[in-house]
Amino acid sequence: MVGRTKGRMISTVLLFLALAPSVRGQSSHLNEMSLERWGKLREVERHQMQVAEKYFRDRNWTVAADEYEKYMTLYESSNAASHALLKWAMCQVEMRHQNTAIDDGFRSVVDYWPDSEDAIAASFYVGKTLQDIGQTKKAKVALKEVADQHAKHLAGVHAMVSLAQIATIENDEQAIVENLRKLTFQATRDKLTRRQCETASIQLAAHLFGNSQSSDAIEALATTYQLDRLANEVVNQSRTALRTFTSDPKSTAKSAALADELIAYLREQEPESIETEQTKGFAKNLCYLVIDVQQTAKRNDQVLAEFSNIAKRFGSDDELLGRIANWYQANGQYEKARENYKKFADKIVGLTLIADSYRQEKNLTHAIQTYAKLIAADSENQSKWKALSATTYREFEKYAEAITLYQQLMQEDTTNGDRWLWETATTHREAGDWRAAIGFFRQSERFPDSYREMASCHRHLKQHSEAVTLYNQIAGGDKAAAPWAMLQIGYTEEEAKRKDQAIAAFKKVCKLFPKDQNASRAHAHLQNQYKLTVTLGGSKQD
Amino acid sequence: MNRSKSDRRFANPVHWTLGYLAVWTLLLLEIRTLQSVPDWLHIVMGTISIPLGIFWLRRCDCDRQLIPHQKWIVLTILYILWWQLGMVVLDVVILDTARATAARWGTVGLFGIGLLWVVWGVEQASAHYRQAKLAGDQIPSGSPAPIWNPLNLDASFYAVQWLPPRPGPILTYLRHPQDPNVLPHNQRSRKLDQSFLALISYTFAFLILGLLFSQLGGCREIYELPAGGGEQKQLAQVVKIKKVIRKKYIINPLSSIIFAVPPIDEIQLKLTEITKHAYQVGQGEGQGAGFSGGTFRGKVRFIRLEYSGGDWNQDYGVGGDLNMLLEYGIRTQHKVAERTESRTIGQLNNFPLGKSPPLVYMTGQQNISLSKSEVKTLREYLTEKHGMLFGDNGGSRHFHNQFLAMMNRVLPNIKPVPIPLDDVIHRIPYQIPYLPYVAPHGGKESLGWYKDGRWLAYYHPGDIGDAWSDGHAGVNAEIWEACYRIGTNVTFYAHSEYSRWLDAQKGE
Repeated sequence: MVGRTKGRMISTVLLFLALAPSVRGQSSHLNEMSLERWGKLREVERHQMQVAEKYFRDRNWTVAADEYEKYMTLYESSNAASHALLKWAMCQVEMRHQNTAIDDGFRSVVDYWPDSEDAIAASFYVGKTLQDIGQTKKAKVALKEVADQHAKHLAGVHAMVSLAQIATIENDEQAIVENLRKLTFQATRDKLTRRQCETASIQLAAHLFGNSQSSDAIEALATTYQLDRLANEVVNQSRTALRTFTSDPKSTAKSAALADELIAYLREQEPESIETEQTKGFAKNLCYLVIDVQQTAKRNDQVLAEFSNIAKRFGSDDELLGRIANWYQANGQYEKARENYKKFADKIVGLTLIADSYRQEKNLTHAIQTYAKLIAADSENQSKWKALSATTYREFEKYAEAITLYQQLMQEDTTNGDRWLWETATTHREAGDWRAAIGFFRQSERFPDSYREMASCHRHLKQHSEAVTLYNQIAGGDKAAAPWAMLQIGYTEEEAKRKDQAIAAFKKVCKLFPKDQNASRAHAHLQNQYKLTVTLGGSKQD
Repeated sequence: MNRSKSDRRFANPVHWTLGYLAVWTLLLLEIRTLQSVPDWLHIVMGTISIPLGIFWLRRCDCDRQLIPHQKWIVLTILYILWWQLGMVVLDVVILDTARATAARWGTVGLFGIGLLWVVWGVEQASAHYRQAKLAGDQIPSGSPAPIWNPLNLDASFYAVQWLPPRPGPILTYLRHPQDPNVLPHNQRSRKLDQSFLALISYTFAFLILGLLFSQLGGCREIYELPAGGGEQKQLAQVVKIKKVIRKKYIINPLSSIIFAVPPIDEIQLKLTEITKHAYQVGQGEGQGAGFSGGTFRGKVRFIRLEYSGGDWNQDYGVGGDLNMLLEYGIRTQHKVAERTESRTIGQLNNFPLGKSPPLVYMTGQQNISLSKSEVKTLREYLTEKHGMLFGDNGGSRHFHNQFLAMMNRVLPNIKPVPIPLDDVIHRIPYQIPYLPYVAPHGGKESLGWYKDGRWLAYYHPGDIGDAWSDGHAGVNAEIWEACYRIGTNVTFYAHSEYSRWLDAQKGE
């Protein structure tokens, strides 16, 4: 159980880490000079700095580094010298000279301009760069210092995020929670840090729900959400924990306790009167949330009772009917679900849902009959319902019927003619009728996809020369697809037992597109299949 | 003629052949364990088996009464002797792929020969017991005791109906209860059971013996660094500039003599780059280039890691590994082994702490499939034995993913990071200003797994092994030279870190 909770914790935090901005993203705010600072620069200083910044923005790191270095040489005593050194160090990071960046750049900023804003950023970058080159022990020390000393600063928030990242990789649950707590409750939330703090609060809540600390979890979520959204988020974030508890017979008590706590919380939120539309909607939503909790806790009898309670309090409508039907459908009671769909005020929606439920139940005849009703009832959207009928036929491998419908659509809905042509072709392809598929793909205007499909069909028909011709046309007509097309020529020649031509084609891919992934495949194929080592030219790191 | 007793004994060819076989067996055990006897002695001992074999084969033809089936016994023994001789020769001439093939097919052949002998032996034994039974039938006896000898077809456990009979014969029996041919009392054949048991037992015994034999050498394997010392610094480069001035002819353009006008004077600058060892490359204090944690017998070796699931032996034996090893020796002046080797991940367990290889190389382009115990072994090797893994993507994005997934299992708490170009591994002994690659199968950045102040693994994404091979996979000189430099740096890094660790261990 503990292991599972830990695993869940780590997976959620990994998501959080994925959302966390990259170094470059962080740097864009941390390493920008304020307008006030720009204003203090002399004209010549400003000019030189602008030149350097331009190259930095253009990601021309070598030139940018040179320009920042020039600035430092010429205007060493300038107000922006620390900024120039900071940016120079960032250029070094981008050029993968991280050790140089730390030793000669970031640390120098801290040493020579300890009271500047740049020093705080540089302190963070020392830790972040150490983390990026795998030196996590040193990184933790550096980042912790920044997080402790500058908790209210943007750098401090970034440091906490980085510490959480390290803790996640090291599987240190205590450290993860500690950093998430800091981000949730201590860090200052402004427009730059809000997203990270909010994500942290959500992850912390999910973790606390998993540890049966629901009141703390709600408190964490309350830092992020207003009352109107809080109840929804409480249920959303607790769902995983509740599901985990419910699925494990050993934690039934925990499941019941958590569900009860959540329901009690939701009941507490109910407004005293439901006279206005707003309060009525809010109260109704809370009732649905209670059902959500009951469903997750697998208390089926209470779910039905709750549904009838809502019907009594707020009356029946399509939303309630839909939810009841969904619940029946989730429990495999399709007929009862359809009874509810039939009661829908919006008959079209009701019929659509009925057709869907027949499709889910694998009942082709009734699904098609329902679509026929829709075609009759909703004449404006006939092509939509016909297309859905055709899709249903395809699902059940009734290709001939599907093709008939698509051909009708081609005549009736000429504006989408190419779409129906394409669908017809793909249906023929699915049916294994390669010749007919080629005929329809040929009429389509989707180049190079149509040529690609035609070539594939020709290969199925063992018409290798035709396929090669089509691939050549793709290679000639679409630069982006050329490496792929030429690789396919190699495979096609191989299928045709024309070994020499196949080798020549693979070699050509290696020669013409040495840096493309397809060249890598051709290279590997030549090595495996023919024991031939062909050069891709060899190259330097870009 | 009064010959002594011992003379008479050695005059008998059976005696000295047995003596030869005893010595040969000892040498076989030695090659699997100590490996201190030079290869030539193994070859000499193996070569002796050729005339000896011919002698015995001729003798078998002449004297058919000596031992029953003697020719087949001689041929079996000769198969083993000559197979092993072939293996040693292939080993010495460094035909690793051929050796691996010979080992594989030789083992299959040995299994087949052994199986034939087992079949023959079982047949002989059962015939013997059958005859004994026939003889015993004439003697009246009481209730027979159960027989447990598996060589006897009458053993109690043969032809026991372990499973219920099939329904088909039962139904036939119900329809035709009087027919004596349906539903025989004993549906199973005793002979078949005996053959099946013999095959299973023999296969099991062969596997167990094979396993024991393959593990024989394991526990004694050691890896020692070459002794010496040196500094961890960049190699100094000296560029000599040589001016070549062509002779200048002064010709009168109005001369009546026709000259073939030579080119106007040319000054050709020949830039000769010489890499000079201004100091010894190595680690610690000691005489000669090497490592303070090394021994005088020690050598730098190139060990490729064998793994299941894919093609660990991609381009194995075409010179890439050996070229790199030799280049390393030339560039650093360290003593290097004469040939490259390969080990399974399990065999890394055979190296003791402090005597294990500082670096193992792993390449391929297909799957990597490691068992839990292999993952544990590799983790122990990297973290506790202070080893290092040099991964090289031999040709696919798939291998890249496989390698990262494998490392994620081996070192789950360490995240791979791009290795800085100004890291010590990219600076010493050669400055690597850019990462060269043959093909960017796994990207264009080298990745590393860093822990406790050192890189545990270095992953090159672009088939560096191809650049080391003969012909350098067609890449230009600048690239393959840079690839050799990276290989040198990584090998040196692993060895110097290992030596430093050994020094620290001694200090403690």
